Amino acid sequence: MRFIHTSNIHIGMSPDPDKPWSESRSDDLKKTFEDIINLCKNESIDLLMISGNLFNYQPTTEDLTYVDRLFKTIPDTNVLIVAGSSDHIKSNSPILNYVFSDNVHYFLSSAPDTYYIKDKKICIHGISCFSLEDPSTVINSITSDNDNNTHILMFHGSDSKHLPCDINKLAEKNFSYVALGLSHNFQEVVRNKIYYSGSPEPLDQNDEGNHGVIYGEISNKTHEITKIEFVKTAKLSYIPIKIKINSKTSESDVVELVNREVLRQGNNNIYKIILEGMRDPDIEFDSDIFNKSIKIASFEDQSNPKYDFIKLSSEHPQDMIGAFIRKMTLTNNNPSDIEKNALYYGTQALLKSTEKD
Amino acid sequence: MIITSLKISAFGKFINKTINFSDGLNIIYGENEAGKSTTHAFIKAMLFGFDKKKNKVSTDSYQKYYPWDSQNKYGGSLTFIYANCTYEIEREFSITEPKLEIRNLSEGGITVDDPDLFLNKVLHNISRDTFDNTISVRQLKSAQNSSMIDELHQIISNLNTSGDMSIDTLYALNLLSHKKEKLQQSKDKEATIIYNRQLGNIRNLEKELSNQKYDNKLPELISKKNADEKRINANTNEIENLKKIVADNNLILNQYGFKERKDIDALSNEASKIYLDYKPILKNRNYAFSFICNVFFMLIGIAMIVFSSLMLVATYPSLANTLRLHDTRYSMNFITNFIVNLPFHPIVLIGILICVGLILLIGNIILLINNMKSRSVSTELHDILSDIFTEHINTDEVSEENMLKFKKHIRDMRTIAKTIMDSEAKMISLTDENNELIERQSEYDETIKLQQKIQYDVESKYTELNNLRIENKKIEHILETNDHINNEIESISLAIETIKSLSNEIKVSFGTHLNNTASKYISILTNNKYKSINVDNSLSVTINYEGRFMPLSQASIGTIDQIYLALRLAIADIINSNDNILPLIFDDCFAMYDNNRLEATLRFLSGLNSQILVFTCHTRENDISSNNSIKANSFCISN
Repeated sequence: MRFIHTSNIHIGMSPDPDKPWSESRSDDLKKTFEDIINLCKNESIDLLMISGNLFNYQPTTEDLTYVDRLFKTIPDTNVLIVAGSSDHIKSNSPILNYVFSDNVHYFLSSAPDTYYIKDKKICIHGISCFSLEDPSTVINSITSDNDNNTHILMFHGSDSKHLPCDINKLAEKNFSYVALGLSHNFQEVVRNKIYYSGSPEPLDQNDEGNHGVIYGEISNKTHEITKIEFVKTAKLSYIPIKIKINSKTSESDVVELVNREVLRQGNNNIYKIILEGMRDPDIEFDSDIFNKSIKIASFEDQSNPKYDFIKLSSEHPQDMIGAFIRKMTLTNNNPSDIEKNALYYGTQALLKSTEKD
Repeated sequence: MIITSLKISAFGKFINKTINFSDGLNIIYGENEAGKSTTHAFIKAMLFGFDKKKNKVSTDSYQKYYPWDSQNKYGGSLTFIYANCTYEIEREFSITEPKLEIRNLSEGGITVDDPDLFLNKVLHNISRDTFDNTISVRQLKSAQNSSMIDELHQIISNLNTSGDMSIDTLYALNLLSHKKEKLQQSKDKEATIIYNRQLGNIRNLEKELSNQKYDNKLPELISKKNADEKRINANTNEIENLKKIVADNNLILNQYGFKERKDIDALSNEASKIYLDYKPILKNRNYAFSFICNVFFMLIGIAMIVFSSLMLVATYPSLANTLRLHDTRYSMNFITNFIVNLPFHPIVLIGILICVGLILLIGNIILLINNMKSRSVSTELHDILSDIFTEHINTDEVSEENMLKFKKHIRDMRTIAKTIMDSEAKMISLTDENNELIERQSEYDETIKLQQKIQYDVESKYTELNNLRIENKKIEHILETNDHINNEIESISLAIETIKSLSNEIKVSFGTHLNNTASKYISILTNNKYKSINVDNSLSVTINYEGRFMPLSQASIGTIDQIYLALRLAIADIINSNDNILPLIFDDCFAMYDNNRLEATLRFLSGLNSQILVFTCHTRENDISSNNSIKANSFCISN
């Protein structure tokens, strides 16, 4: 039995909403979902499991028709869907009266439910979310019969706010596979048994790394996983570029380093630029310095102006600079970012006042 | 610290030049361009180096004094006495590898481990800027009285608020405020308003959508409707079946000629009745025997009547005459004999015989007629029954057995009729139910239509909600940037507050010291003409002239310069410690001084504990000092 496990597709989402590529990313989410459907078709997949958050919000009939039209193209694949936190089922959800194609089963019960695929002898246990957060421990009580069927469990959890459960106990249960949703990143929770598929496309700049779906095979005899692999589906990646700068680093150095990295990784990807280290106090780096064709999701200058406060303090034993540095550093051993920055700003301004001629 | 000599390898215009200084007052004079400034710059460069990265001034100086025409190393050495030891600072200025070495010449020239740290200690950790503004005393830049007052005012203000003439707290605070202002402006203030407004809209929509009236009842309605539809179909099928049953059964009934149930009853009744009538006939149907019996008894009757008539004639012969019955006499003998022998009157017997004879005759005639009649009725009944039997039980034989068969047949027919009736009743009830269900279907259709309209409304509300959420997500990013800016602003505010509060602290401690020390110096420098200077909280400077306080604006340029000198010396006092007094360098400071004032100043300086280096382009300082026996080491500097 061949299956594909995915989750957190978030159709309808506009990633990086304030960025110019947001709309095209929104399209990418749909295209990648269509790619997954084609994958099912080409690989003769028996079971497609979507462990929550297929939609980014409460799906409308239009949204449901869109996905169902795709599901119709894979009539030999059983499609099993549970609702996640983002698309949780409400008492007025349009999904309640939507009639899917015969090969699709959407778990509409708030209690654990089972769906049996007779010809394939697969029993799928699933539970949908009915609220944004659901801290109930109902998963711990789910059991499967020790019969001649393959038992699979799918739900959108399992952190403390979303159907929390005891993973060790879950691993001991009679499930051939547990398909989890929620995390945007692929994660092997228990080898050959419990997995987070992650989202097939990265959804924001925190979703670094590869994104795809899980392809697996389960033996009809032993009911055990015989093959499992991660299939990359993402059209692009969020790549952090950390640049260690020093007091000699100029704006053009930073721009060149970024350009080189972008050239190496590809212009299609989205980048997060982080500056670290000690910078020349007279330079302030700005996100405007980079080539406009580079997709920059965020620019963080975490570098600190290169001041030797101990030296400055001893050089100015009597005056405002020394007094300021001592006041800002001695009163607090564990300064906050605001206090740290206050130290930099104040020192910079006072030093500048000495050079004003 | 006493600087004893300079050995210049190459620095500006000087190549391989040595200059020696003595303790106390040194007057170094030379014409313009002779190299006084270069010497001054060399001393600074030896003490502080060129921190090329640190500030523009240093970089410019580095370029300015670079010995372009010489092969000698850019740099040299400076020898000084510190803590009873002689040290030599040797520097080579290079962009890539600046060299600094300090040797303790009193201890065989061993190098000092950390020359930077050592120098900082010797120089009381002062910065190059502090050095420029205290130890190294230059002339006020301004040439006009009012500008000089402003400049002095600024310096006093800097001293008063920052403790250092070079640190302009107000300027720093302005820089910070300006930065804060710029950050404030870069915030998208609209974003928060729009965000909150939209958040309000989102909450309202969410609240509205949570209303029960929007619950999706379609699944329940559709499932109910479908169940009803199934029921209707099942009922319709059953009605069809029943119709068939009714038709089939009616066909059977029709076959037997029944149109209605009462036909069966009628036939049954008729047959029973006929059979009831026929049954006795069936039992006595020996009509020939009855006929013979009847005739026989009729004859007996007749015989009896005849015999009694004879007896009557025999008894009453007159009757015979009357009747003219003469021929019967003979035969009468027998009867007469019989009568005679009768123990009773013959009339009794005659009467009896006549009666019995008549009864027999009449009775049997009646019976015979009846028999005749009965026979014809029996045939009729038989024919009817036979017809009935032939039609219903396929036999024309009228018998008890067949009658039973016929009764069974009637029972069957009745069952069929009952089935028809039941079926018809059921059909009616089913049809009624279906009518009701169909009516309810249209009710469901109406409700579903209404519910679909509600769902459509819900969906458009959800679409609106989703769009609002996307819009607010966009704004969230702006708000994050605003938050970031707010943090920056908070940092700057904290810096401003801290500097302000420190400035007040410095004002209090420094102001007192400044007033005391500077007053002491101004009084000495001016030969008690000015007793003291006072800097008040609002930084206005007043001079105590002959017992009254004179505003600075009324002082002469020379006086302002003296106040400036007094302030510098006051600052130097703060920097210096008792065991290490730094030299004071005066670079063309006394150009504005008249001779008396210059003499007083030089005398005052020569009496100080510091080493004094006076650079001048005039010989006036040398002349005055030698003419007034002020101890000074004077020498001329030239290329």
